[in-house]
Parts: sequence; structure tokens; C-alpha cells
Amino acid sequence: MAQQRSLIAGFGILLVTASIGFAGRQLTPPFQPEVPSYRSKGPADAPITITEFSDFQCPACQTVVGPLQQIQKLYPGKIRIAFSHMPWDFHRWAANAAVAADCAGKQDKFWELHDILFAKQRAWALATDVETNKADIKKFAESIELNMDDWNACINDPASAKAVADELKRNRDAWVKSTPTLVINGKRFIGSQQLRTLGLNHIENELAKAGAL
Amino acid sequence: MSKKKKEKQKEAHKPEPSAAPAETVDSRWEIAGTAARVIVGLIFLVSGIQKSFAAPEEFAAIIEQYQILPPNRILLFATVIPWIEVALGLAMVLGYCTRTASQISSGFFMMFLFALGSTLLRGITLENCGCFGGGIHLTQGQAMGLDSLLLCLSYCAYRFGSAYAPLDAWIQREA
Repeated sequence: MAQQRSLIAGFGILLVTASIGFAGRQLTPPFQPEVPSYRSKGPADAPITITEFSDFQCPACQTVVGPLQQIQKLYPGKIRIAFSHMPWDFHRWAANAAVAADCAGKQDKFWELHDILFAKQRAWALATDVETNKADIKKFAESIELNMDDWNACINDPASAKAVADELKRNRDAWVKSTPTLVINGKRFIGSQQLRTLGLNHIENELAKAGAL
Repeated sequence: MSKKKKEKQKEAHKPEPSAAPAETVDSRWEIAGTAARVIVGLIFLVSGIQKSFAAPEEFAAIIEQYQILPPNRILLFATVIPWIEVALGLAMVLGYCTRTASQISSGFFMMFLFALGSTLLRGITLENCGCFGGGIHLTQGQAMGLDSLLLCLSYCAYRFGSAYAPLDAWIQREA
């Protein structure tokens, strides 16, 4: 009798575990949100869309910048890269950088500032106060010849910061919990290691499926 | 009845000299053991559910940073571990095979401590220990502190956590 009850209890625990696991999968369907056009590069009808959930102050995010550029070169005309903001709270200046890049994007220079922010991440991330941080980012903005009046007005507009915060919340609600997360045609990959191994395989398979290889 | 038979019967009723005296456990320890079991179980449940609800690739990316497992095994490990954590958490909270579950949970915490300690020795800095998947971010030091505490609680659950174990009590109840 005891053995029977033990088996019933064990089976019940396994059943609940499996239910939780499958419910988790149902609650986290593929998530590939649309982003403003200035935050995407590559043809709009490309067979592969890579959405990059990234944080300008995150060192791991810096390591996917190069591989993503290489992938675009490897499959010319077949890859569209879209950028979505995930500025972590524990990265002190990440939200400021996201707003700055978005404001540059409104002048169609998002990717220019994106590349500088990642290339010089170690320098500006070390700022000890907000004024130093703003001065650092302003220097980068000037170097890509933005209309500084418009850019200043944009970064000081509370709506710009709110838009970034709303985007962060939307991504978190969709269970994007790590940066850099790369969603390639609906399938998630995290970090440059997965991008360069599993991610590349997935790209090849998707291109073959689309007859674009 | 013969004298010899009587003596034999007397012998049979004598307690075994080698048997240890029955351990009497203070009920306060039993309550503490039960609390420890439920706390450890809830932590496993939260951790396992967090990881199960996120994509396994997220947890896999964290495991990659430890540089312990071969790359082709990481995704499998990242898929299986959350399920084991949920099952173990349920067993601990519901009091199923309490002592075995406590031993397995102790094994888990020792494995986590070994992995975290090895990253410290090799100079690997982790932004997130991965204890709760991508959910709650803990540094290596914080994670080692938490795991040491949970290892102590698992031991406490192993020693004293069987007293108020509902499923074990149901299994052992006389029909």
C-alpha cells in the first residue's frame, strides 16, 4: 500500500512539474517586436530578421556588434538587423545612452552613434556623475555631425526617456531577461557564442527554407 | 515450562545491546527542520519556474560563462536543470521522500558552490550567477553566501524536516 501511494505521489509531482514546464513554453511564445525604421538596417523584405535586444553599457552586448556586422557581410541583402533597447537598471548610464542613440536615430544616425557607444563603452561607462556622462555622450553626438539643437531638445524631452522605459518593460514582459538576446526569425539566441554557433546554423537553415541560400 | 525455555524467552525480550537508544528530537528542532525544508523547496520552485518560463538559451548563455561544461552539452543541461529544480522544490515543499530530497538538494548546492568557487579561482567575473536564470541577478559572492546558507538549511531539513511532511505521512499511514 505504502509503495503504491509513494508511486502515486511521485507521479503527481512529475505531472505538476511537466505542467509547469509546458505552461512556461506556452506563455513565452516567439517574440520579435517591430522597432522604428531608423533602428533597423538591411532590406525590409530580407528573409532573415535578427532582432537584437541590447544595452549600450553591457560588455557582453559589445561582443556581438562585430559578429552581427560580419553576418550581414556574409549574407549580403539577406539579413535585416533590428535593435531593441534593454537598458538594465544596474547599468547606471545605459538608459541615457539609449535615449541619446534614439535621438540620433531621429536624424537617421542611430547606427553611427550605436557603433561609437559600443566602441568607446569602457570610457563613457566609467563616468562618476551624470554631468560627465552627458558630456561624454555629447562629444560622440558632435563627432557624427548631428543637429545639436534638435538632439539636445530630444534628449531633454521626458517623452524620450519614457519611450525607452516603456520598451524595456514590454521586452521584460515578454520574458526577455538577458542581454544580448538575438531573436533570429522568431528563435532566441543569447550572447555571441550562441550567435556564432547555433545562430549561424539557424540562419543557414532559414535561408535554405526560403530558397535564398 | 522448562528452565532452559524460560531463559530463552527472557533473552528474546532483552533489548539488543548494540542498538542505539531511540533519539528524542525536541519539537522546536522539528519545526525548524520543517521550516528549512519548505524554504529550500520554495527557493528551488521559484528558481526552476523562472528558468522554465524563459527560453533555455538564456540559462545556457549563463552556464557558458562558467566554462565548465562542453559547449555541446550546455543547452541540454540548461533545459533539464529547471525541471529537476521544480520537481525537487515540489518534493521538498510537499514533504515527499524528504530525506532523499534533502540529500539531492544538498548535492545541488555543493555543485553550485563548486562551480562558483571555480570561477573565482580562475578569475572569471560573472554579472549574473544564473541562480534564478535571467530573473534575479546575484554576484558570485552573494550567490556563494546564499548557497552556503541553503546548504545548511538542507542539512537541517535532512536531520529534522521529516516530522511534518504531509506526503510522507500519507504514504506511511496505516490503511
